[in-house]
Amino acid sequence: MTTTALPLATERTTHRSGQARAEAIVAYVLSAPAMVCLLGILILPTLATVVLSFTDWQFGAPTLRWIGLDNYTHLAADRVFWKSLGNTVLYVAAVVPLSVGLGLGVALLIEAGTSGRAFYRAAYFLPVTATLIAMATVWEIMLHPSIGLINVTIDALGFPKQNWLKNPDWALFSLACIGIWQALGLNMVLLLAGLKSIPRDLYEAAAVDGADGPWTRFVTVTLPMLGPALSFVLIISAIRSFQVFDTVAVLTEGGPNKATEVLLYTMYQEGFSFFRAGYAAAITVVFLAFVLLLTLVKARIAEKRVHYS
Amino acid sequence: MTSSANAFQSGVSVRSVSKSFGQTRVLSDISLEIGPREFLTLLGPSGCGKSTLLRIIAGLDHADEGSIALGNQTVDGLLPRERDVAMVFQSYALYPYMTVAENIGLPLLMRRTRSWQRLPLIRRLHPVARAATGTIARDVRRAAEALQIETFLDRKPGQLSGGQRQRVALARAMVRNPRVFLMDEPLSNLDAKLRVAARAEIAELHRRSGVACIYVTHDQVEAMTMSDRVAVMMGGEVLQVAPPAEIYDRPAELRVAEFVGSPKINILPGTVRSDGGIDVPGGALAIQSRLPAGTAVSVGMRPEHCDVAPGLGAGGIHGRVRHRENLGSDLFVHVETAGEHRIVARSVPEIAAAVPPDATVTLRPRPDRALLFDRAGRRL
Ligand SMILES: Nc1ncnc2c1ncn2[C@@H]1O[C@H](COP(=O)(O)OP(=O)(O)O)[C@@H](O)[C@H]1O
Ligand SMILES: [Mg+2]
Repeated sequence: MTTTALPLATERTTHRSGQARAEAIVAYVLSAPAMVCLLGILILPTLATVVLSFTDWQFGAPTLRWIGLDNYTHLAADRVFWKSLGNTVLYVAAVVPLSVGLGLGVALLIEAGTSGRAFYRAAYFLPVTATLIAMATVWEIMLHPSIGLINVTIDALGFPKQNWLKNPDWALFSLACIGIWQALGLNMVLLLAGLKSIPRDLYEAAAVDGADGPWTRFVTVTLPMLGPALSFVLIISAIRSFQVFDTVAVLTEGGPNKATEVLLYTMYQEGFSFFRAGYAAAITVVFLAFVLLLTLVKARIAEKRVHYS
Repeated sequence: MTSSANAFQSGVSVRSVSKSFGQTRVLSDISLEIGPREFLTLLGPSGCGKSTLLRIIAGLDHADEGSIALGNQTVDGLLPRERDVAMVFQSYALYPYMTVAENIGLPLLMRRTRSWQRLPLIRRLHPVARAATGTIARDVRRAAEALQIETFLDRKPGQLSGGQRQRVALARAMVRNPRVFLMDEPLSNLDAKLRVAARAEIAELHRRSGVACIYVTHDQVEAMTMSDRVAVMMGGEVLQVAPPAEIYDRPAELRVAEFVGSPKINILPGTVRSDGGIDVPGGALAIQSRLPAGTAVSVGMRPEHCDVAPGLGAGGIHGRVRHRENLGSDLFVHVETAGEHRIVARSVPEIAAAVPPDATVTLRPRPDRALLFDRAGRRL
């Protein structure tokens, strides 16, 4: 019995390990395209950018020289860079809380309402689907100092007109408003989905337990149940508003007097207007560091909320 | 957990309550009186409107017609909180982001503190809020101890088993002294073994609390074992309200008789003879009914009230064995009589050898336990 069983067993195991190797090969072959893509469009360019940031390469130049941390020491002394970083942080600090807060407000109103839900949802979501470049043109007309709807309205109400995009005090504020308008729709839709997934039972249990006023119900059930969705939306909004570029490029070009200079716009100008690719790469690395930080925060939050379900 | 003075006075009155969802009538003219310390079960098949009635009593839904009174107070316009009821949901509806202690304590926190006193910092510093926090912690611990979950107080519901979650839901209801406990199928998500233990425990907790309890279930065993009285519901109507034994022995209607009892009651069509006996397919019943001869009736016989004997005996109902189920303690014999009517009879396992499949047998229903129903299904 054992004498016959033993060779049979070894035969089966060798057979199995052969099969496992074949399976592994198939797995590598199947995932190879995704790996190549990941490597080609994400990892290699990132590495190339990091490497470039240590050189003095000029866009289109045949040669480059290793200059170590020179680009970064330059950055640290560059007033435009600091202005740009400050503007970006200011922009994020305005857009994130307001677009998330208003998005939540609108989502709560839509969820509580009985009619016209589809219409409101579509109306608020429209800016997300529209091309921002096209929409920026619309905003440019709206904000036009003499014929713009906003100034006409303000004038009719008896307040002084403003040159929204050309006044250094107002330009960044105007861009932030456009950013909020644009981000609100996506935030609203994500939060609406979060609201819908809260079981009705919980609200009923809260009503029986005595948590039945609008505010009490919001803080005891809605807000904690929305926690994961809300932190996701916050991080996504932060990353997206950190990337602000198109409105700046189309409407203000960083002006007036660097009032709307933001990180990505500075990087674009350094790289593609002044052709200082190495320097632009250093700005990009700083930018990537911020985005990476936000992504890590997001991952940590996602981990913390695991046993919610 | 101790009963307050008002708990003794208050019961629940459901007066002519009707409810429709759109065109569908879910409850039609329901009236019920529940005593101050009574355990009443709403028993009925899924979809008959039990939960809807419970939600109307709780104030989570509103009746189209009729009214609800708790104790001597009509509560129709009141919010659930103002009705002072405690409810256990089928899904338990625990707050997943709160610890067990916070879950159980929430009803107390909401009632003993004001909104501004619950703000994080004030809750720590304000003397009234702090005192409330202390008494709440004490009451939560007492409720948790009654349900043996005091060791889980710091966990989140997601870290508990089904049975433990169910206990937390019960503790959250029992931490207060409500006017009435409302329980919507609280055991339906537990496995069979836990359910048996929980049945006895809920009945015991109810007795100690001294508060009325309305318990919804589709499980007749729960209804029969836990309740003071059972209200059998079907199609949005209450068919009968009575103590469990009476529901079983003297069902008001054929539908009640068929819903309660396992295996199901045997129903045979019958005709009253001139001597008061009743002809049924395959034989006759030797009972003395006072119905006029020729009346068509439905005869109901519970399996345990049917004796089985091998062979063709005199009298009784003759048939052929189709199937046997030996449960060790009981033997259920499935017999087919004339006209392909099936009758299940309960007997003892010892006779199994004498009634093999296809054997001819004689069934002798106990005449005093036979139930007669008229054409409309009402008991005669
Ligand atoms: N909110 C609602 N809208 C429409 N129909 C409902 C609603 N709630 C319950 N129903 C219907 O009412 C009937 C009774 O429901 P329910 O009271 O939950 O039954 P049970 O608890 O006895 O299973 C069912 O047919 C159900 O589909
Ligand atoms: Mg139900």
